[in-house]
Amino acid sequence: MRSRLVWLSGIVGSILGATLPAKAQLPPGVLTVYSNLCFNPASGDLNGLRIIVFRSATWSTRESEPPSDDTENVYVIFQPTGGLLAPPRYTLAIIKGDHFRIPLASPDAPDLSFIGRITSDVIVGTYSTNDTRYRLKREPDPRNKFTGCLDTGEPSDGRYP
Amino acid sequence: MGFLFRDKPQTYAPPPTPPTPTMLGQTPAPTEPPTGLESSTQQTAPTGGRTAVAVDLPGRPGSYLDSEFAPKVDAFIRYAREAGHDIRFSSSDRTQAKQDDIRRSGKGTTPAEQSLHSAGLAVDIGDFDGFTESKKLDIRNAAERAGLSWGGTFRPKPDTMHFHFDPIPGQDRTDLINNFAEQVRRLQSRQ
Repeated sequence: MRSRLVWLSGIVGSILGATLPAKAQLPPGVLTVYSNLCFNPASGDLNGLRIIVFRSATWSTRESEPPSDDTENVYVIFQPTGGLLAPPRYTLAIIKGDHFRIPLASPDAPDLSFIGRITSDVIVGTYSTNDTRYRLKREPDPRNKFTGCLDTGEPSDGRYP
Repeated sequence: MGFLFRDKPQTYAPPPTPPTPTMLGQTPAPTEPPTGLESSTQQTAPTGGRTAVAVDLPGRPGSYLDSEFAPKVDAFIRYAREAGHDIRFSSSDRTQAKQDDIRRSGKGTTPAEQSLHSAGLAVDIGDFDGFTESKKLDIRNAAERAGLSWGGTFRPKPDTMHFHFDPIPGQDRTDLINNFAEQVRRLQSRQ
């Protein structure tokens, strides 16, 4: 009986979660920085990603729809690393509920995107081309100074030495 | 032996030795300029021991590399191309002066002190993390064939975009780094 209740509550919860409007999953701020950038002491390189979510509530030019709870346009600044901070990409993200896709197509990689899930506190995602998982925590006080990498791939706790 | 190393010769990496034949054939001698890199700006600063070489790497024109490392990077590019991949580098040499400039500017700093980048002995492929698994493997194989090591084996944190050659594994790199900075300074003063 107990297991049936747990199973039933799981089903109900997933239905509710799937029908929540996008704004319930996204951070409330206009600009929110998510990052797992950290300094790799073995190589001297900066590793990780930074994604800045920009809630601008613009109209979609392609669909000509006004923004609403269901049709908000969310842009991101996507910044990988290449030893140091790499040039950021600015693009329209595709978000449904807490699922997102960030198109990163280039001539060399026409199908490349970054996909995953977003909440107000964390982004968990992968490139569409492989299975390496990234976990980016919300940065409440973002700066361009970085702590060392832990073996989990996340920054150490000591902030901005 | 340069004056920089008079007091601490034991920490200085020996001058490059002649290359030995491998299953891939003879690798270029360290004193030869790289063959596949853009050669318009190639110059060396021969001061005895290790030297620096100015090269135009794909994606990083105007770079400086260690003279033993440069031919290996050249071979890396060539082997990757043979596998069907044109690689581009996002980072190569980072002298201490460059690190300091980055730190002062607030553009983003890495507190590197013993990095092989500071000795012109490491390169990064910034797009690497977005490659398919098969492309990653091809590029890792190309690096290994060229005699480079991969940062993906680093612990505690792998650095998958990082490829390097370490002539003095496990030793202090201070003199190596200082020598490279001096070599680069001399090259730049000629330009």
